[in-house]
Amino acid sequence: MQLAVLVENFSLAFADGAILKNINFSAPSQGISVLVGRSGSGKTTLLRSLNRLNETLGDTTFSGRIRLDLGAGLEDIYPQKQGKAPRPVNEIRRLVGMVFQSPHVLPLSIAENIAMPLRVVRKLRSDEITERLEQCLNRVGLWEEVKHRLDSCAEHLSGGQKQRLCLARALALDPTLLLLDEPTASLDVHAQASIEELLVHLSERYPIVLVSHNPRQASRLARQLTVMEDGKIVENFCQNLPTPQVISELLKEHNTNELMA
Amino acid sequence: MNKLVPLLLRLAPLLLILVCAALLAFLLQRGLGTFSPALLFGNVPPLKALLGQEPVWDGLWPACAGTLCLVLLTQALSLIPGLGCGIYLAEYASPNKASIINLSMDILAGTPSIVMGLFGFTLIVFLRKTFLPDANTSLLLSAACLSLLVLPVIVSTSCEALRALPQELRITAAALGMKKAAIVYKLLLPQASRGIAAGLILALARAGEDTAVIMLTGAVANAGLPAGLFDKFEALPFAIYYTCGEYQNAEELARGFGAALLLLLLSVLLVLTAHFLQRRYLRHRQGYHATGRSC
Amino acid sequence: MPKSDLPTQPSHDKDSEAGFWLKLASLLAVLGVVALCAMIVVAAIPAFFSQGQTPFEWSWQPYQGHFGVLPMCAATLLLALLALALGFPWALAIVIWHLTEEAPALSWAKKAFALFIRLLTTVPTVVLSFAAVFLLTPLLRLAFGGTGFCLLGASLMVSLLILPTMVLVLESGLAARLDALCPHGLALGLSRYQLLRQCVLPQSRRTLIQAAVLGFGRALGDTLLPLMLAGNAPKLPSSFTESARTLSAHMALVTANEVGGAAYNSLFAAGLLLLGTSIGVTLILRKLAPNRARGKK
Repeated sequence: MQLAVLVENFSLAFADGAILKNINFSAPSQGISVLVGRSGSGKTTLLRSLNRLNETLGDTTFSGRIRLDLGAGLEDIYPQKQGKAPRPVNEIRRLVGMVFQSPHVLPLSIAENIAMPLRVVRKLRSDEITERLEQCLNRVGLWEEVKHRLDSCAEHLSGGQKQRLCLARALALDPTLLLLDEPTASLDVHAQASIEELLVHLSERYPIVLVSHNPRQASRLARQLTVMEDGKIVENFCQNLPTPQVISELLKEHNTNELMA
Repeated sequence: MNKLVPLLLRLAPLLLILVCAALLAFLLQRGLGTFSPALLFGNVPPLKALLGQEPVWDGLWPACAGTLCLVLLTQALSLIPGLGCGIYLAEYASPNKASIINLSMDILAGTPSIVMGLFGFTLIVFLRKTFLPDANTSLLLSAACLSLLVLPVIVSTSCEALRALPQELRITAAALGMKKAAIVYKLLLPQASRGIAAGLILALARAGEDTAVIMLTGAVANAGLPAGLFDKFEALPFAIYYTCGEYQNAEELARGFGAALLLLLLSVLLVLTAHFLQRRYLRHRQGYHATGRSC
Repeated sequence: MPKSDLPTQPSHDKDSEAGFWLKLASLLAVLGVVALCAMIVVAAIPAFFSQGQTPFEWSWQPYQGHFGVLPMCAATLLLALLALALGFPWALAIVIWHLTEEAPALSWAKKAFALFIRLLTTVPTVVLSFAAVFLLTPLLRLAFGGTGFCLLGASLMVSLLILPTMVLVLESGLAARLDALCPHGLALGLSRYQLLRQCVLPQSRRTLIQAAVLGFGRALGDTLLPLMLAGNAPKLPSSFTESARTLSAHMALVTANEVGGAAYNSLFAAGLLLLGTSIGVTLILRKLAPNRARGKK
């Protein structure tokens, strides 16, 4: 099976202590890999290790290696003692699309939200940008809704629309991998359903790593399910995925285990 | 007793308002009558005075022009170090470096302006003894000392404006693959521009009203229009100070009141502008923050 | 996980470092401060080692070779203390009123007053002095005789100058504490005034000292008010209605009149004294506000 992500013996610490402890994890190049765990278990940090975003939050140290398929086979994204140096961080982040828990639209117009990164990061010409803008908004099903008000402020969109805009913005940069951090946590049921549908559709083209807090969503979407606890991976299911009830039991069980210890 | 105290407390702000109203009414009564083109230009036709074709001897125009040149030059000198230092402090500085910068800005903000003036004066004394025997106090020297005076204002307001931006903006932009420099210059600075503008206006007002610095570094009473960077110059606050001690007749005194009122109006106007810019900026930022969290 | 297993390799990112121009700008700003201090210290050194004409004596008679600045030091201190004694209780009363005024009819006045205080911080001192010379001085002349240019007049105006600064510091320190107490405090049947008086003020010594120190520092350094209002007699005043010369006014006068060599020594000594005290005040203020985010994001 082809891999999109391969994490080996990876640990990561901030100044005030280790968050990830000796993680081994892989994600296939097709389908959605779901990470679940209680809050504080390190799933968001693991996700942010995959595009080295933790470094923007403070000084970090690491050990181990993480390899991603960024279009040319698996390659290291953290510097290793041997082998060639990894790509520049901003290039890695560009090739790995990320969507956050609450929709982080930039305080710009709807069009600029997509156009500005394309201009600054990809240095595209304006006619290419216009073309890509429509294409990406179409792919997330937003074009019809916003095509008459592309110049209005993106902050006035509804929560679901904002989250789809964030997805479109990530897609516009031609990612090779999508990281989604509880993308439906702040949305209502309808918006959640439409985003999930969109994700299933996108997973045919992109490998996706998704952090979820919702057992039912996890079991609906997952092709592979990984359970995290206290900065470690405690369970990994590739086949015979557990039912939502089992997943909530799993999360609860670790909970009580910890209380006993 | 407990009922009485809150009533008595109202006397404190009332007294302050009365004192300020008395001072303001006094200034208005003596100064408002002088407001006319003649206050600025004397007997010279305004257009000729503005173009510098005829010198103005009995008007405030040279002092106003001097102050204008002074504040613009000050702004030009302090803009790059002030803004650069503010950006560095908000976005890049390690805790050690930040504490060094904060300490120096605190010291600078607490230094009396007369000491800044003395710094300029000492510089000239030093230059005369060493490399440049002809060095003299001048417009450039005043502007340099004033830019030290306004530096903390620019640094702290630009740093605050950047820090008021939500952290998620930086993270989002980083996740999109933008380099740190692109994030700062293409995203954060435009977003913070209104807050930074407020700081720059405050700095203008501060540089325009200060008297102690310029009286040690080159302001004089009769220089005419500012002639060059290395010449002495007239300035509005210095003209007020000078009139107070040296006025010869009622007409000159009346012009002094006019000048005082003019300077007061100008600085109040500048500060009000800065105040509303800043308030709108912060309100807008907090608004963004709230919606960012709630959905 | 044991400490030794902590990952060690820093994941450092070169792109996140500041560019050359930003570093240069910050360096310039810090160097400006260093140059200011160094220049004034170096210039003042001769004053401390000059034989005979020391600036540390009680008499200023340049033509007799006496260049003492001690009377000016005393006058500066007296002026600042008197201004503080007048201004601080006034500022405190204003803040207490502003925080505890409960009459709904006056809520607009509270809002307007906040803007008024903000505007007061920016009244040019030269304008304040100018108005006072022609309004306050004649009144003082009527009341106490003499010229009317005296320490008292200058102190009154300096207290007005430092008032808004102290009000802002006090307000920002006290308001948060009072608001935190308010919901349940008011439920106990206490008024805002009683809460402030009984619970907030006793805990707020630090804020009070901070405001007083800041006001004191401002009062020490102001030039134009004492220069234009205090009369500038270079001797120790025996009462507040006598003329006096502060260090700052002394510096303005000496540079204006270019007396020459030994007079300059006293000028630089005065400058160093002012700079030293203002740095001292700054350091005390920083000590008093330890919670301030210092270099922390």
